[in-house]
This record gives sequence, C-alpha cells and structure tokens, in this order.
Amino acid sequence: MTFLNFVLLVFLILKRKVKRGEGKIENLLKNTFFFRMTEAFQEGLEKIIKEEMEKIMAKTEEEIKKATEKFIEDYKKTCLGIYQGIDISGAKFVSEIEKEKEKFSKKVEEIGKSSLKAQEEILNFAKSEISKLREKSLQSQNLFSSKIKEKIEESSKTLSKEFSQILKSIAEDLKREVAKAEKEIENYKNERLKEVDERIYKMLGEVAKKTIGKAIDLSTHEELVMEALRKAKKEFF
Amino acid sequence: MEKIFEEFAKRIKTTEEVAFFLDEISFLQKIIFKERKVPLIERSRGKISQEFWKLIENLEKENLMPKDPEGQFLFFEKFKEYLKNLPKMKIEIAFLASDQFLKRVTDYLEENFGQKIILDLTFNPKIVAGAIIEFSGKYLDFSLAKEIEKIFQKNKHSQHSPVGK
Repeated sequence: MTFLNFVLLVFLILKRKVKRGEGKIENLLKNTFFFRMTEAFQEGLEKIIKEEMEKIMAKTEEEIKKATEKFIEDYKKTCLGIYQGIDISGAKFVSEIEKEKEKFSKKVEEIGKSSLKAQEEILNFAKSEISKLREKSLQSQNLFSSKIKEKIEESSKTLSKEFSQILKSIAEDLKREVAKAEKEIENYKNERLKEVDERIYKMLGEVAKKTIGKAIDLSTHEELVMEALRKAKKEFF
Repeated sequence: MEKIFEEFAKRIKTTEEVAFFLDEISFLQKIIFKERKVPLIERSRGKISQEFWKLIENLEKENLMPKDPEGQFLFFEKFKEYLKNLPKMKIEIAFLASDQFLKRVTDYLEENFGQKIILDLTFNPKIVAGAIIEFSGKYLDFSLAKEIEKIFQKNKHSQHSPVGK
C-alpha cells in the first residue's frame, strides 16, 4: 500500500464516521416524540453535540498521528536498509519521502479542516432540527388546547341541558308532593274539626242534662216515670 | 195456698223486699224442727219482721198453715218458690222514689199488665228524668237524657249539612 492510499483510507474512515454521526442524529430526530423544548435545553443539546464532536475529532487525529508515525518509522527502517546499498537513489528517495511527507501533512491539514467543517455542518443541522422540533411541539400544543376547549364547551352545553331537565323533573315531583301534603292537611283539618264539633255537642248535652236534671222536681219526675210506663205498655201490648 | 201467697205478695214491691222475705222464710225453716212443742209463732216472735210475724200468726189462727213441722217446712218452701217466680221488671229512674210512689207503680203494672210484677229498681241520675225499662226481653229507653241527645244530634247534623249552610 502506498502512502497516498493510506492517507485516502484514513480520510474515508473519518468521513464515514462523520456521516454515521449525522445519520445517528437524523434517526434520533425521526424517532423522537414531540415535546416542548426550552432555550436552555436547546443550548445544552448544542453544547453536548459540540463536545462530542470535538472528542471524536481529537481521537481521530490522535489515531491518524500514531498510524502515520508508525508508518514513517517502518518506512524509514526499510528505507535505511535500501540506502546502505544505493546512496544516490537513497538520497533521491529520501527527498521524495520528504515531498510525500509534506503532501501527507497537507492532506492531514485538509482532513482536519474538512472535519471541522463537518462538525460545523452537524451543529447547524442539529440547530435547525431542534428549532423545527420546537415549532412542531408548539403547533401540536396549540391544536391540543383548542381541541380541549371545544370538548369543554360541548360538555358544558350537554351538562347544562341535562341539569335543566333534572331541575324540571324535581320541580314537578315537588309540586305533586306539595299538592298531596296539602290535601292530607285539609283532610286532617276536617277530621279534627268534626271531632271537635262532636265533643262540643257532647259537652253541651252533658251540661243540658245536668242543668235540666237539677231543675226537675219530684212530682215531675214521678209523672215522667208514669209516662214511660204508659209508653212501655204500648210496646208490650 | 196460692191465694195466701198472692195476698202476701201484694205488699211486696221490689226485689230487695223479696230478698228480705226470702231470708225470713229461710230463718223460719231453720227453727221449725226445734222445740216442736212450742208453737212456731212463739218461737219466731221478735226474730222476724212484724209484718211477716203477723202473717204467720193469722195463718196459724185461721189454720191455713199446716201444724206439723214437715208440713210447715213444705209450706214455706212453696212460699219461697212463689216469691222467686214473681215476674221482675228492671227500671232505672233518676230520683229516689218514695214507698207510696212505688206502690202506685206496682198497682199500675198489676192493673195494666195483668199480673203481679216486682220492680228491680236502679237509681241513675244520668238519665236526667223518665225511665229506662227492661222487661220480657225488651229494652225501652224513655229517659229524658235520650231526648236531649236526640235534640243535639239533630242540631249538629243540620249545622254540617250543605242545606243548613
């Protein structure tokens, strides 16, 4: 494998990692359910993404550096073996190596720049998605509250209708009961009056009897008894 | 014998008097078999009522009563039966009747009902006046109390009738 091919491979690996990061974010956004996001949350999310990207980049640079150094070392060793045999070609080869090294460093720089660019792109993408999420959650929230309002209005109409019906039936029942009670009271009143009348007449009778009894003399008594006997005779004969 | 009893019964007016004479007869029946040698009239002097003693005396004088104790006992037994079987009329009156009035009533009854009737008398001032009579299974209220009640009932109904209003 030539040095150039190695660098290309590293670049491809890095790009793939960035793309994977992008894909993860997309999937995450697709599978997330809508909820209200605060500004603080948005800021925190951006911060987290940034930090993670920086970590990934640092790690990737470190790996590239290590791999590069190792490759150079191995190459140097190999080259030294070859240099001992052929000095001219070795010097030329070294200069070529130096040129290739320069090119490799430039390429690594370019990769670093493009990874920074990728990081910025990811951040921007996350920002736009987050704001989209926020909008959607606001919309659904508004829809939800309007639906709730509608339902409440509907229910209150139904309730008031039912309530008025219940009131009506209660009023009717009360009317009936009142009429019944009035009738019972009237009957009771009449009965009591009748009782009182009877008692009054009875008392009057008793008083009359006592009064008359005291006023009758002996001869009248005797005559009244004889009168009774005469009436009795008619009953028997 | 029946005539003796009837004659004696003329002076009896009420059930109390009947009960009184029945007691006297029972007393005589007890002493009949004692001291047989002494006449009954002597044995009974001061121990029975004057009225009844006079009756016994007359019966002995006129030989209307048997002389033997057994005969006398039987005589009194029949007398008792006669008195017990006299018809009784229950009569309620509102005053304390005199003996004279009671005689008047019993005479009226004997005359108009054709038989001797004894009065079962009750004093009840609540009837005000008149009499309540019970005789031969009939109950007749000829009291003044009843008449007064009738009047008040009539007035009460005329008060409550729609025509009366």
